Amino acid sequence: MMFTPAADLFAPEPTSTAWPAPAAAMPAPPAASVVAAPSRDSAALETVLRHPGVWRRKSPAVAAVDVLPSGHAALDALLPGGGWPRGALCELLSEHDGLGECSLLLPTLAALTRARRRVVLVAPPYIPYAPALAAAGVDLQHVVQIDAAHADTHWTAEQCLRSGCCGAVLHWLAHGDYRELRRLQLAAESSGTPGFVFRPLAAASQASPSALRLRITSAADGTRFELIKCRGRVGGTTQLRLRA
Amino acid sequence: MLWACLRFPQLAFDALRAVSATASAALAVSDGPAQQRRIVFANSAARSAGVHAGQNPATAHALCPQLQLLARDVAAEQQALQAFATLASRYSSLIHLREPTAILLEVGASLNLFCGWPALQRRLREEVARSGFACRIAAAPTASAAQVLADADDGIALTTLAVLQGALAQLPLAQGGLEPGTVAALHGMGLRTLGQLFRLPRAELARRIGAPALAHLDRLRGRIAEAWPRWQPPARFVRRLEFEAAVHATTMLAFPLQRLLRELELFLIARDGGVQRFTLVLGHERGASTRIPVGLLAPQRDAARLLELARVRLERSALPAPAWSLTLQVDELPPLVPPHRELFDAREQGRLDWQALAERLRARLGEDALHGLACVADHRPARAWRHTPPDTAAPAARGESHPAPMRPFWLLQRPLALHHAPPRILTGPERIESGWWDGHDQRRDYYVVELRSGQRAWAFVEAGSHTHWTLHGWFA
Amino acid sequence: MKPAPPPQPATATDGVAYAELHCLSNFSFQRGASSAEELFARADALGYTALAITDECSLAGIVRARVAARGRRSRLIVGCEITLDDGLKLVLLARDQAGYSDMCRLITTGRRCSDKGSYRLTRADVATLGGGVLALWVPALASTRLDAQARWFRQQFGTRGWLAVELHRNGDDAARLAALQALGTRHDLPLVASGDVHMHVRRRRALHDVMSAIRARTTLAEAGHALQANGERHLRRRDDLAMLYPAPLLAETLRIAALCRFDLGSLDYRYPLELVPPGLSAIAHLRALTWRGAALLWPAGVPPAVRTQLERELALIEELRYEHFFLTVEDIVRWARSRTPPILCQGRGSSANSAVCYCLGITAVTPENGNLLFERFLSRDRDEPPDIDVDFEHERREEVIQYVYARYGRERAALAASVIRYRSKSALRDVARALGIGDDELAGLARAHARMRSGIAFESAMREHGFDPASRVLQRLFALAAELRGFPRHLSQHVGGFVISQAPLHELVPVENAAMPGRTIIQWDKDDLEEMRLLKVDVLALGMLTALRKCLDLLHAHGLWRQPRLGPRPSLHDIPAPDAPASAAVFDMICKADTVGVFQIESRAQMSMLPRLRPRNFHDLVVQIAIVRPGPIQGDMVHPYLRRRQGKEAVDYPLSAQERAAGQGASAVREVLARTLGVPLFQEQVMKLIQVVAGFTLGEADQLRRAMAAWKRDGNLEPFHDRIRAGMLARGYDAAYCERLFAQIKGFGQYGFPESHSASFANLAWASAWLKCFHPAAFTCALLNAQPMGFYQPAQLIQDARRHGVTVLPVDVLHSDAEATLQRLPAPAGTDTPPLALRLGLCQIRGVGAELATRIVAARRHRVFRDVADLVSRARLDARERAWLADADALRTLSGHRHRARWDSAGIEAATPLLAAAAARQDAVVLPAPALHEEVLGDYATQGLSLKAHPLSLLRRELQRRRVVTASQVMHWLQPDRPLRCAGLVTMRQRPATANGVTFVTLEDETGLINVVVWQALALRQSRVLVEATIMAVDGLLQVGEEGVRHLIARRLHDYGALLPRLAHASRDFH
Repeated sequence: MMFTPAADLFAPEPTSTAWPAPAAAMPAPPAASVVAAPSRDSAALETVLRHPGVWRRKSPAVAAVDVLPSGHAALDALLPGGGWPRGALCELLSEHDGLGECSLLLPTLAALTRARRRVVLVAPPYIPYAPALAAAGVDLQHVVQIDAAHADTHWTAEQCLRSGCCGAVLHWLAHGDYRELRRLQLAAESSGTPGFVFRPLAAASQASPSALRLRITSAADGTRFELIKCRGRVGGTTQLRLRA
Repeated sequence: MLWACLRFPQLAFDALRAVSATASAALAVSDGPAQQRRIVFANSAARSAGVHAGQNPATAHALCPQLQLLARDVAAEQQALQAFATLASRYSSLIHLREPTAILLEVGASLNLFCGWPALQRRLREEVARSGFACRIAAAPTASAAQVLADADDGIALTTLAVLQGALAQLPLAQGGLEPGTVAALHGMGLRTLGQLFRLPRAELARRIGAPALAHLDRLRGRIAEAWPRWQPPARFVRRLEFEAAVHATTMLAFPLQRLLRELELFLIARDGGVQRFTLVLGHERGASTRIPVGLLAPQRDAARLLELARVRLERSALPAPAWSLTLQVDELPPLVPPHRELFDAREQGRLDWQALAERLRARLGEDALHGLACVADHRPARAWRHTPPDTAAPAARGESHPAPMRPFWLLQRPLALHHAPPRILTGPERIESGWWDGHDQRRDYYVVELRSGQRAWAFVEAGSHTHWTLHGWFA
Repeated sequence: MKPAPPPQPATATDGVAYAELHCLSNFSFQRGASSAEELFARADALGYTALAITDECSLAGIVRARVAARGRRSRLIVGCEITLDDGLKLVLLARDQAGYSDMCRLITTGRRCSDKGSYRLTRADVATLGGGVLALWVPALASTRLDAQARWFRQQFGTRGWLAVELHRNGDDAARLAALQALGTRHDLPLVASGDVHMHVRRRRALHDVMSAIRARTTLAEAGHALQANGERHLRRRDDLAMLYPAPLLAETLRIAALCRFDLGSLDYRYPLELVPPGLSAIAHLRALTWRGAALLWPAGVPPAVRTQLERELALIEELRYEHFFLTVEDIVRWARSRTPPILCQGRGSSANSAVCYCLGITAVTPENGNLLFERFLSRDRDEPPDIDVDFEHERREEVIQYVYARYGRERAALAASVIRYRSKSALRDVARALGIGDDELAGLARAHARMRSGIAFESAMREHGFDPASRVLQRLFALAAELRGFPRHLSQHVGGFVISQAPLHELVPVENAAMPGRTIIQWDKDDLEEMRLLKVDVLALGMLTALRKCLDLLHAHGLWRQPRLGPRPSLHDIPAPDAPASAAVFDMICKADTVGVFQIESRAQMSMLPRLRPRNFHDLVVQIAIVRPGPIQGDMVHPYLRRRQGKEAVDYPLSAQERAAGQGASAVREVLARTLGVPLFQEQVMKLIQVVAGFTLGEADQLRRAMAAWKRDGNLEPFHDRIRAGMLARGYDAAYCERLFAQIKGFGQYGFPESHSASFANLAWASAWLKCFHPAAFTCALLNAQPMGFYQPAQLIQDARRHGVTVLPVDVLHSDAEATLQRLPAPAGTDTPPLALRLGLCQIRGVGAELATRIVAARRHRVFRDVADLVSRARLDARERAWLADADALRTLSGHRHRARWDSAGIEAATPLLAAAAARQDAVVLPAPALHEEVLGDYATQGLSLKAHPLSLLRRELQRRRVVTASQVMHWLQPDRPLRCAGLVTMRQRPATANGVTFVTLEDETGLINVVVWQALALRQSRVLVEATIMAVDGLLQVGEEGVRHLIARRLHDYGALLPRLAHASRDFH
């Protein structure tokens, strides 16, 4: 397991409380429901049209920065170019498991797989739960999970990023030094593939070559996403609440 | 010309016997779709209990309750027949396969080489007997006659057409190799032997049995030529390189390996085939050897790519002893699907590159490192998904309109006991009671809960219970 | 996010009342997993106020539900569930009778326009429902058209529509409730709680899963989401419901339940009225018809006894208001008689054996025989509808059925349903499939199960077939199969029970399509009809009637009918009565057991009993037919009766203590049993007896009768045992008599025969025996043309005819019709009446069907065939048809022997019109003539019989060498009790359930038949020979009974089939 679970979960509880009854109203499901997944065909078409790799060279009028829409309007507004940078490494630094840190990517993964682009999960810490992915509109046919021994994960992620045949590479990394991340960033750049690296929040203090760093923490009113580094928008943190 | 026929009267049974214990037990082979299965062969123990070919299995069981029924394996039969054809190819260069149960070989040309027919027949019998298959053998100047005679009279050898003519005339109609319908019709006309048939006016007979049957009768007697497709041995590729000095490290094998793979590439181009699996055999002293199988996702023939893969494999396997030889062995040559390189189809290009990437990843991480994911229609959460071979179309579960209740991004491999009741329940219970039929009955109430840390988790208790909380997933 | 509300305390639930408004019984096939009985027992225990049975588009289970609800605190609400073609799911509840009728009509509409087992309904269909129907809508919340649907529903049902809130702990209950509340508010629709119940208790989950898998035609492992996620769809405890649902939603169930006041018992059923001429009352019309019939039957005047009987019966019919029922049956029968040619028919059943039915022409059992059983069935005390089954010629019953439809219209006439239920074997098979057990294993299990039924213990039966009896899968399989057994599986059509009503039937009960095109069935079966007091007329098919009709027609056509007759053609009535002077010859024949082909008394068991019972009058025949039945045999009534009839045992009647004390010799039992020498042989005697000796009321006796019918299924006779015993002991009968009587009752439970049925059958037995005795050629001809029927194959019927001196002529394209015919032979010198011979028909040849035969006969009528080529071209025979005819030796007169015929016919090129030249050239070829044994084998292969020689005669020399004696020696000459060997073709193998595993084998050689008895031990030891041999030799001991009945008791069997290989002969096995 790569993330340390929250301390209060497995330790004795200081005060015991009465059993709470089921909530009367159903909350919105986390993350994925912020933006309703568009219908399959239009999404696929849209993604292809927005694919800068296809059009950029011929039509300089289209976006200068090559991005993948995140599927969350609020987040897109925050991100330079209006989406996840393509051909770059994004770091997602999460305080705990279970804050919606992975689900954040579901709309992107759904759009990519529906456009028949392969999404690779390198060494995930738990079972990526197929029913949840499918419910979010991810076409499982284009999802590949790669198990690798700890020593091989880095190599694997780099190979995938470099190959240019993956729509996105998700990578869970407990420890990683600057040099390794740098290699990943270069691999992503060279092939134009977006790479997402999930790391514990503790890593936020370390220097990083990633193009984008997102801090994910729990707040009283949901999960807080903070952009702590972004190429082309130096300094300044921006907050975003994606689930209530 | 002299034709020998090897017929395997109980091929269906012999082809299976390798896998089941041979004993005095009553055994029978059955074939056909589930509802209309029929016995196709019964061994002597079964026959003496009244089981016979054509019976339905229920009747057979009624007659012989301890009867063991084996399912027919047509592939095994064909394989056996191929093996015997290969065996026969040592004695003849002209071989016909007469499915389902006979092989014909022209032995006239090689008779002297093998010291005459009796000796040759003996050798053939011995070779077949060693494999444990029952076999009937006959020889005749025409292939059709040899086949017919092998049925009628095991061991007979007729060397001249005149003698053959006489022998055929004596043969009962039913053994003449004619279609059952034709035999029945002729029987209805009171005709019982081939001789009676031969004496009838040709035109009159032709009107009643048709030209193909008449042609068969003519072929039997050598009046018209027989033209059946010649049997071709299956293609393989085996090349061996001997070293002048012992090789101690796998890295030293790169050059000989490259040479062998170049040869293979030329061979494949010539046959317009590819290779999906090949084996490297390292020969050590005293006949010992190390086999290194190499598998590919799809058939290929590009020597450079094959070399890259083979080298990775070789590097990962240690040499148990110095090697004196290297053999490249290919048993199957599947058709190569040429890379579909459309100029403007970037996606297709990507897919092909993915194969290369996947091969590279597998070579380092192991065959089982890559998985696809699929949903499984099962209410039990731990069984609602599975790994699939990557790049396979996910079956069934897709497109199913099962309303998906809340499911977490992460499922824990093993559920974890929680020490406390979670402080906050968001939704639930979702009661899941299912699976009694496979011994994994589950009765659980699932809840979406939030922990003090703000983490959202999927947790369950026994149905109806409110204690002993167990964590099963994270809404990550 | 709001903090979760505090937990609700478990409230006291005595105050929470609930009525379940959405519940499926097991008549929602493969969906509902509990019977109405179980559901009501459970609902009652849980204190539900009411329970609606809402099977899917069906009311097939509603009568059972009514019975199940009787005496329960939970009231039955009648309803149904439907899913419209646009996916809208509704639960409809009948508020009053108009609503019920609307519902029936709706279901009928949905079912009639769809294949059997499915339905199709649209919103437009629902729009026809009136104010008597309440509706619950079960919305699919995921639907995008929810609001449009709600608007339609509100507009359609107004204040009679509710939103059904069904919460099953699916994880989103709270959201679901909130969404429904919002929907209800938006559209002004009230909410009500309901359960979508599929089973009575949660424990049924396993069976419910199995049924879902069966329904989805898959295995449990593969069924996936076809299964429910949990077992919540059961009748839940009221306090559980109180936790789940807001109180107003539960209260609303009661309000709706209170609105539904409809009671099934209030249905008004009337018999059709139109059969009565205007201005006449029904009874007056019936009277007139009856007396008119009587006048025809007794031209010399109706005997006084009959006259009184008629008056009594008519008075009773009038009192019970059954006139219309009798008129309906009379109408159908009269119509059948009026056809040209008339359709032969005969009534049977409790009401059929009445003087009225005789006069109306419904039956031919004359009341002069002293057989008037009428009042015993139709009595003012017993509240049971009359029962008349009418048998028609089986080939022409369809005409009668179509007449009924035409007469009353499809609106008013339909067949009763027959509920096909899971039996042990089908339950085992379906459950096994659901559990994923492979076909081969399943076959093994079926065999093991068959062994268990023959008394082997579960463990050993399983081990024997290689199964581990302790395995969990097996345990599960058998437990679930036992649960499933008895569940209804689908509706089929009753063999011929018509329900006819004055008003359209669909106002009473839904009507749906049967599997057969052109047939409709109502959703109720005969038990339901009885419960609902609907009358049905059984229009049944009987092969013997066809044979009798054909025989009478043959006699008429050939001028052989010498008896007087009433109508233009001879009919059943015209056959001389058993007490006519010439009847002695017929009874002599019967006593000799010379009864091949005679209705009912031709089986091996009957034949072995005939020489012992020696029937000499009609009543004896009635007894004969009733006694050789599994019921009396298992109740051990045969031997006492036999001994008494033969005078070897005194006829005595047990006396009660009171009677003994009175000492007058009067016995109540005597009155009941005097007709049958003190032994109860008929079902109604048993019923009367327990009233007399055990003090049962008529109603109780009737309950016992029903229990007897269901005994095999439920085995619930024990309570009766105690009551009978107590009643009899109290009246001073001895205990042994109690036990004997009870054993007899149990025997009847299986297959008892009421006397009325037996009397009707005896009448047909008499008619067929009379025809066989005096007109064997015509009789055999008619039997052959009515096949398949009876016990014997054509070959045996023909053998029998030849033994009786009938000349039988072979099939010949120049002389045979499609069917067998009678042909005149040249008169022998010195006589002037040319004898009649039986000519076999072309259809006797295997493969030749009516179409081909008609083609040949039509071509021949046009012009006689010149040669084979002429035949082939004019009858347009293809190669296969030519081969059939040639191989059957049917071309003999055209072509010579069969080899020649096959050669000639094969050589003709159908397309070539210039045939003469070709035919001339063919003479050059010489073909060998067939030997006798080839001829015989050829005949058997093509027709299953040979007139040239018996196969055994071909072997006689070899058989003599093997010391085989002939049948005639065995049956007539040889001394008993000495070992001998005989051999013959196996013509029949029988293993009656009542014979303790004994197999009866009949062997036939060229001299006659031999009856062989094979005890179980030998049968097991030599099962292969027993089952497989076509020619069997038997070493055994000849046994001769007192009446000369000869049996060979087998000690060892031999298969002599190898002596005559390729003999194509099939015996009639194991019936």
